[in-house]
Amino acid sequence: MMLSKNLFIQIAMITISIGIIVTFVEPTFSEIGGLQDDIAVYQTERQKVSSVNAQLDSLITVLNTVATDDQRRLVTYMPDEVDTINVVRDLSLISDEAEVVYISAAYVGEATSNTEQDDSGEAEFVQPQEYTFDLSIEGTYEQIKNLFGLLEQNNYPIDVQTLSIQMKDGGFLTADMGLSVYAHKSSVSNEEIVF
Amino acid sequence: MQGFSDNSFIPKRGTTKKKQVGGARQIYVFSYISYILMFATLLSSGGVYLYAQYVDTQLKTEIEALNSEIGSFSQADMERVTQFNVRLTQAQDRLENSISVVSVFEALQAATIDTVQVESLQMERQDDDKVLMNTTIQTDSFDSTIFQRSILLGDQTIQGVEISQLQTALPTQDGTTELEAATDPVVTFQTLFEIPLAEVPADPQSYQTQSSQNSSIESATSTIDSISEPGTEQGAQQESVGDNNDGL
Repeated sequence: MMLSKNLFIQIAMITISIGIIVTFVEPTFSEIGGLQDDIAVYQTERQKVSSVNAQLDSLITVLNTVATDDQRRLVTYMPDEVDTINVVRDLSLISDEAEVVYISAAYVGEATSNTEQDDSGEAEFVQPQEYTFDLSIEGTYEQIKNLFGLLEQNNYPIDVQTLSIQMKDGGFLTADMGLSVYAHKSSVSNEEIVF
Repeated sequence: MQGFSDNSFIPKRGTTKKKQVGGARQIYVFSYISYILMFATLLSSGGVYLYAQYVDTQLKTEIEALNSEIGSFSQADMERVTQFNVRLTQAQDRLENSISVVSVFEALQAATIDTVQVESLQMERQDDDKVLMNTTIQTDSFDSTIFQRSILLGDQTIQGVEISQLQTALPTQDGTTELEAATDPVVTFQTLFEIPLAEVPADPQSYQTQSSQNSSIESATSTIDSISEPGTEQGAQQESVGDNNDGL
């Protein structure tokens, strides 16, 4: 009788132990495994954010070392927007400087820009916004050549896209050209970064 | 014989006793195992509970650290750097793809013989790749035409030369150029060719050199002006040129 009672207690202890293992220990182990995985993920993400912050700090340091004059020149070279009246005025002034006969200059419109995929396929290069202008002048060959020299020395890029030169009487030439001026265009991914 | 042995006072060693001793040992081992298992289970439960609490605290610490790191990220700085980079990249792209029309003219001059005259010129830029040129050329003879063609074909800068629309006509009498005043028949033809942008790049360094030379000339001029009497006509002209250069 005593023997069967002890045996019953022992079997009950084993059963309870197995029950505890099955209902508490094993699920808690699994939960701990999940938590450790989460910790690893959080650690990885924290390292990524830290590296981004460190890189951003270093870039800000580099940016702050750029001289104000250089930043101003860059903004002049690639402005946020093109003042079309200013450009037409500059073309007139450059024509005067080159001593050609200024006939007309006019703003044509904005050209359609495209976005280029980088070689890596990740980053996209955004082309600047292109504004086109027409310029008609008359002058000698040397004067027209001088005009193009002055256009190339301008503080912002004036690209000659098309050019038509015709001979006139007296050694004079008429030149009609299509010019492009560029403005900075923000990148496509200008949305707030959410981690 | 059987009855005699049953009445003996000497206890017999039966087989059942042996079985009882063996069974008791089994129960003892079984109880030992059950106690160990029970205590191990309780200990491991406590340990697992405490470790779970520790890991949970660790996770919360990591989350707080990540949030703190994210909080230190500056969106404004990021946009500032990004926009500067985009602007710089776009400026660099335009700078690298800018061409010198003066260089195009000089390349054309170098590939043009003395006895020909360019009547008209059409230039069209093909993206950031090449410049297409279409010129109408007038010359005095077929020999000059052939020579001009050989010069164009042999030129390293000019590529894809095509000569077409070869025509012969008498010169106009009211022309003022030597070519037009000649009595020989005039040969006109059209040339199509292209110049890669890499062959005629704009060179900002040369402009900087020019501007530094100009500035040194201006400084030298101003030194001379300061030595000479002020208010002369020459000094005024030099000042106006200097003002114009500053305007550009």
